Amino acid sequence: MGGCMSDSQDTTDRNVEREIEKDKKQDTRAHKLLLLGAGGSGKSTFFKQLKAIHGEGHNDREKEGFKRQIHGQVVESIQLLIRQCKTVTKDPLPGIKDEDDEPFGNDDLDDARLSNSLKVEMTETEIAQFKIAKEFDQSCQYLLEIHGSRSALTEQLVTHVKSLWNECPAIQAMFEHRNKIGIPDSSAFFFNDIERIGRSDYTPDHKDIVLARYRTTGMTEKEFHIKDAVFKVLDVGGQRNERKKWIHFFDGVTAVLFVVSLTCYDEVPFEDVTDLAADVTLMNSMLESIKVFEDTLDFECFQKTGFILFFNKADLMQEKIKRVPITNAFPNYKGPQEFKPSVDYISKYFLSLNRVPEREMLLRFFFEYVLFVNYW
Amino acid sequence: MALTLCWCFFAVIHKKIKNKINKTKQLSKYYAYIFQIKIKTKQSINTKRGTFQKCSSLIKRCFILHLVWVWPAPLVLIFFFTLLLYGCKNKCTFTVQNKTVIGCGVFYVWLFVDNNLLFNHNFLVTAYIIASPFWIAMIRFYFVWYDSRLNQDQIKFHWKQQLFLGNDIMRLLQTNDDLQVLSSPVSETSISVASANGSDNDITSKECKAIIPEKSETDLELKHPLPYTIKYRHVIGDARWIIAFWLLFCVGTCFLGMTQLWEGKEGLFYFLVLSTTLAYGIPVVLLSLLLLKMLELHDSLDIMRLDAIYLCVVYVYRVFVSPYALHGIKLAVIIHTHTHTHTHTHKISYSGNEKNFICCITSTGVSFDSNAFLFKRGLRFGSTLVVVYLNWDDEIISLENILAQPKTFDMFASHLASELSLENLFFLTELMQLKYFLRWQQLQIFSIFYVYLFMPEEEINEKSLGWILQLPQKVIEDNLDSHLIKKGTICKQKVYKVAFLMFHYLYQRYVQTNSLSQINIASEVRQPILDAFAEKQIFVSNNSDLTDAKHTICRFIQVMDIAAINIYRLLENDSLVRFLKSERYQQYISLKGS
Repeated sequence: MGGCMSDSQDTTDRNVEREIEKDKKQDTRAHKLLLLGAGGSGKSTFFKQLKAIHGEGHNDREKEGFKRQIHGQVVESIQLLIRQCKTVTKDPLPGIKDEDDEPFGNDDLDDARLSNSLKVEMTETEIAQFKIAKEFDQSCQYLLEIHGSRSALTEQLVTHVKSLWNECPAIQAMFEHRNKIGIPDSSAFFFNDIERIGRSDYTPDHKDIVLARYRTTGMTEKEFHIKDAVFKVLDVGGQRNERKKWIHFFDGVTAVLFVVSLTCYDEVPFEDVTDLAADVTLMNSMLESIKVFEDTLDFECFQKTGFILFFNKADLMQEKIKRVPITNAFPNYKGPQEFKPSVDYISKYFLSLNRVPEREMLLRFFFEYVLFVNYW
Repeated sequence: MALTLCWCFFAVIHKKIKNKINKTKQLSKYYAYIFQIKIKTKQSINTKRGTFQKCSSLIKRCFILHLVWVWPAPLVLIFFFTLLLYGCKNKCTFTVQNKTVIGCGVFYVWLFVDNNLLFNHNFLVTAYIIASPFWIAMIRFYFVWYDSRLNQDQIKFHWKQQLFLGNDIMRLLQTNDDLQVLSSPVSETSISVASANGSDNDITSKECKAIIPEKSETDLELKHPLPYTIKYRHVIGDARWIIAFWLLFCVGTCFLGMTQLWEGKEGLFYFLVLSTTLAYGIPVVLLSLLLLKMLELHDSLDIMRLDAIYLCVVYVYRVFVSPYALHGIKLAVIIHTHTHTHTHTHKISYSGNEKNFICCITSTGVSFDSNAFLFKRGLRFGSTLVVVYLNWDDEIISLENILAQPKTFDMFASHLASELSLENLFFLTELMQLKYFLRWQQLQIFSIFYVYLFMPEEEINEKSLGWILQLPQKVIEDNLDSHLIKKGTICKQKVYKVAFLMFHYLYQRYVQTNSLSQINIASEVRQPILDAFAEKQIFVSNNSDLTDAKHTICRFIQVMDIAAINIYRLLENDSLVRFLKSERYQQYISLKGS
């Protein structure tokens, strides 16, 4: 009895060994590429585009997943907008309120606001524009009570979101401040198309898939075969807690693809989002990106690794530069408030962070909505 | 299937002719009963789940009684078939014995059907000899199963080690009764401890010494109870030789008995009886003990403990008292049907979605594997047993369903482990453990009527428990200190204290900036939690006002719920998408679907 058992054990052991060897061989052949960058810079979007162009594309099951992500994004964004409006105007939140706890909560918030003199004070009129009218109370109530676990948007939800988005000026006003409350730009696109997305037979097209934004947790890897070469690309989460996990896959990396969002110089990092009073000059994602980039460059194991810097969201940057100068993140910048010199400055700044001259550094720009060509 | 049906039919006819009229009446009664209930259950699906469950358990009891007293033969055959099919399917080392197993099975049934044969000693002895490979197969089967189980356990054990909630709380309560740690502000007690991960920021987890047990390999193994298979690994290893010895003994005595008979020495008849009783009785006891252990593993002893023991007693009695100890094998079969009827009805309680299950009448698939395999076999041997199982509907795949079933929960957890994002699931699990604890305590200390009728101020009611995610009972209970959910160990005041300690642990481990396994939440969500804890640092231990304590706990639940929902959504929108297309899950689906 025992003999037979150990035989089967041996064969499985041998199989495992063979597989390990095979993996090792493949590993030496494959180029391991790491996608790094701060939260919200577009690592996963890059990954998705790679998959669409060089991978086998997205099958139905994956599309189902993206549909879920888009629905999640819509629900979460609208909830965030409503909550922020209520916080600013100090409306009681229906779901979270408990009578006994009210005194603590509000006092505490006020104290925090008073004590932090660095934050921008708002006037009464400014606050008033975020007041959600009484007629939308029902919609707000309904939307705020949604938990996860719904893969499809119901008809009711669609109408509520639609009425809030199109008819409520407070929500629109709040959306203008999306950089401070951590709402992705693409949410507007989905809000506008809410009827199409809410249909039961909706399948996301390529644009929807690329625009969908959701936080990544952990990491995923995928192999791409491009012109005889095998690339193993690792996509990771970029939030602060996710960055702790990066160290686990730093071994044997061919190149690091560092993604930087060009528009993030006035965006508050996801982990620091509080309310509209946040000061974007003190903390913004660009500063965070720079810090992450510096930290990554300093790693022992990356001293000889090539870096490819991707500057993402150039199209949105062209819009944004007209309204906001990049001096939020780069106080030393003296050039004009235009796209080309600003981007040049940013890219030079990033390159100057490299203190190892023999390290290969490449710069790439790409637009979020446009399919990019083969860079290799 | 046709063969099985034939056998069943034949056996029923046979019984009806041969047996006493009483028994026939009984039999038909059972059938009527079963069919009645079948109709009832169909209706009750649409109306109420509670009655449905009651009915199914009634059916189960009826069937088991029926099985024990009236009609065991076809089941023996079914058992052999499933054994055979399982062997083919898993390509384990059964191939040699397959033919002999079937041979034995048929022979057994034949023996049983024609009772007169049993009085012929020659036949009896030949039967014993032919049957011996079957015993070998049985034991082999158990070991194969055991080994696979061991492998699973070792994988699971690794990550389950990291669930700490509730394991150390009791010890803390005893040693640290005044809660000195908590009565002083956080900033003073903060001890910087370099993270075990050694990550890029060189994370320091503040005051993680307060509640989180120190992480060292040897400590962990002592604190966390080892799974049964890992723990008794060496025992089983030794037992193999004992069992082998017994088998040799079986064959030897049979051979001896046979030679004696051939020589025509009638005086040795008693020796024959004794040796056969020993040869069959002892392996039966041994096997039934092993099977009982397996029952435990199938988490089915919670309600059905009495039934199982009762069956054992009845069968051991019958085996030893009856002059020809042939039916021992039936014990195994019955215990197994028992397990499976149980696991299947059990699943209903996991399911939150009423559309998800249907009821159908099938025979039992007797197998050692409680998942998809049984499901398929059960359909194939369509006969009498009412098995209620979940309809695996591919279209309704939500994270809720995946987390609610133990099998998929484990798969999802190991997927997250491979993606390095297990802390999200840990957070959800531990929060649900906490809520489970609160609810359990509340139901234990006060009767349900008291809580619902008078709504006492200081009690936490269902509503204030907030968002509940359905997780497998096993996951929640296995990793919770058993003292915490034992009647009478914790008094009312202490319940809140324990809950507070648990919250503090969650806060330190998951929420605090730079904590050990920080979760991915926005500061919009984190800030309320930090605020709540900053306010409630001083939690007066023994003489505190219960109403006040309740409000504190409720506040914690509220703020934690927001984070939990956030994390749930993150898992649903990010990890689940990749899990569903992972190779493992696809394999699982195809296994179920075919």
